[in-house]
Amino acid sequence: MTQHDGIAGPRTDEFFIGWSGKAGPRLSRFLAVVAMLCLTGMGFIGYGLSRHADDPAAGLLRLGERDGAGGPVRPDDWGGEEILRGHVSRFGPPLLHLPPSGEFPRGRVMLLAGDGKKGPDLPAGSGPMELRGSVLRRGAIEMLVVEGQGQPLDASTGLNPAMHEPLGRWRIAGEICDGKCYAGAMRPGSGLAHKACANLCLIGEIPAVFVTVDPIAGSRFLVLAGPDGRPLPADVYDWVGIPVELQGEVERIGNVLVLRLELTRMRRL
Amino acid sequence: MSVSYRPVGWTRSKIVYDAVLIAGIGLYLAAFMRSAPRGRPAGTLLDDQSLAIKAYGSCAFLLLTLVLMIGPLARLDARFLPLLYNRRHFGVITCTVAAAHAMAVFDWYFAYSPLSPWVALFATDTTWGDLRGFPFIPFGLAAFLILLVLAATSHDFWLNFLTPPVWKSLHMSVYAAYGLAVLHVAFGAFQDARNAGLPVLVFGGSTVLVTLHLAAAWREHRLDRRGPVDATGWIAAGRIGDVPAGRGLVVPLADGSSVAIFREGDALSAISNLCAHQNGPLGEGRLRDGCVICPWHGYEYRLRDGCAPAPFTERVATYKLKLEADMILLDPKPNPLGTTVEPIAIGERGR
Repeated sequence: MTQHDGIAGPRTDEFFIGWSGKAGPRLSRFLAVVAMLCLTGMGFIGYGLSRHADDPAAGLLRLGERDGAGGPVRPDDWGGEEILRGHVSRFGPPLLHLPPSGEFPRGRVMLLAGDGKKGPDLPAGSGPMELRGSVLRRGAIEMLVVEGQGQPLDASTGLNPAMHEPLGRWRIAGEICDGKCYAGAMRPGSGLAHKACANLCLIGEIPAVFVTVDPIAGSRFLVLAGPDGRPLPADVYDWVGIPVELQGEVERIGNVLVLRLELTRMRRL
Repeated sequence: MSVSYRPVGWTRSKIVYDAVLIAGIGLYLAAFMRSAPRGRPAGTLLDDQSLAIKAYGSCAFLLLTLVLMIGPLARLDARFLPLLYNRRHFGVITCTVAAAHAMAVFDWYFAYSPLSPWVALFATDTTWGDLRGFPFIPFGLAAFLILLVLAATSHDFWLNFLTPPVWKSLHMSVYAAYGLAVLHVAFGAFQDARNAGLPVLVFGGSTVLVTLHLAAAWREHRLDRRGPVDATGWIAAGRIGDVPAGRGLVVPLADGSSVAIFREGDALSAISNLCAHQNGPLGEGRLRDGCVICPWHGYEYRLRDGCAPAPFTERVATYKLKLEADMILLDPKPNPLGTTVEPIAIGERGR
């Protein structure tokens, strides 16, 4: 038996008393090694988890869209404010139909949203309007985030709705997302972790989109509308952010597809 | 040890402990939010808010796993005991990181809407009937609320106010918080995960944690051998030579408690094995100036009467001992708190 710092026991038995602020040399070395291991480990784990985190743009059902170089498609920059004149329709969510051009021979159709998680501030009804805002893009999806209130235009402006083309009844696998976050307002804008946010957007009247596992008539997304062409009912919220199979009539409107959803035929995958 | 309440009784050990902990968290967050994104191809980056949500969330989970490892590690290897000394600071810091995760989610996913974020929190995901899309946010919220309660009651004031048994039981709910955190990740981030990083962290971490607890429990089970009881109720606690130098011989009792027998010089004494502060194992403590020092937080008790030296007021029970040849016999009935028991002399038997 020996005494060290008044403690009975062998000298090699280093006993730590927290309030004394002292630790024996061997214990101090051991604790220094533990501290270094913890610090190094924390750094490596943080780096590894982030470096190999899932690609947010690849987000949908493991397929995702790729650009020409094979990389994930990235939403374009906001691109500043634009003033667009077109025809606003109310088939499902409000859509802005821009006149046909060389790039969009059937007409160019944009989804519409307001600032934050709410729909655009538009005059009642449909018809020619002038809208001011920023355009979000991801792949083929285009959404105008409308600033201020849309201004109705005279019917004589010649701004007509884009051509409607029925494509028949379809059964399609994919994931229901909110059109704004999926278009690039959030990265990722899909998946179960984003479900609550997506539902909040849909409650705020942001258009819902259906991102498909396989391309449908050349498109990976469809705008969702109720069976009668009205906005979606709240029943859909439970089906957001998870793999599902939907059925309904598909229509091509300009350069986008719209699915008129049959609510009784939704199925969880 | 302290005779009055202070927000934090800082010691050099606590300062070093907290500095290392905060440095570790800083390294983790810097690596996650600054270094690693630079190494990713353009176009594959999360937005800053989502990155922060993932960084804080995974960091909180890692910290929770580590803080729960300290207990069994200290049972298995006494060199880890210094990590246990300041474990409450570890818990409070873990809760702070979890709060950062919660606030980041709240200010991103539930903001920018005409709907109140508090309403949105409970109203935007209610798919209770589908296990594969089961709402995962309530699990995380419940885990965070538990951590919040534990952090708020971590101070010694609450320990004394609630009494150690109640406080200890309350703080055992940290295991419930850990389970809820696992469910939060399993029903949430796992559902969309396409690489193994997060599953390895969660399943790997929880597997190591469970293994350490089982190993510590096995060690305790092996040590938990009760001696025979004679007709008068005295227990054969062990032989004089079984009392380790400078440490206690721990004797488990039928009621689940235990007694620590110490040898000081040529005399033996017995006191409760459970520290009045947080039920620390006094039998694994050391002797100094006639007092046993608890290995967890350094609380001291005199061997003769089980009382902490003035000005401290904590007390543990003393027990009666007697010797038959070199066999130590223990009366399992605890004496009233503060009862002085003269140490029994070993004489020639202990030489």
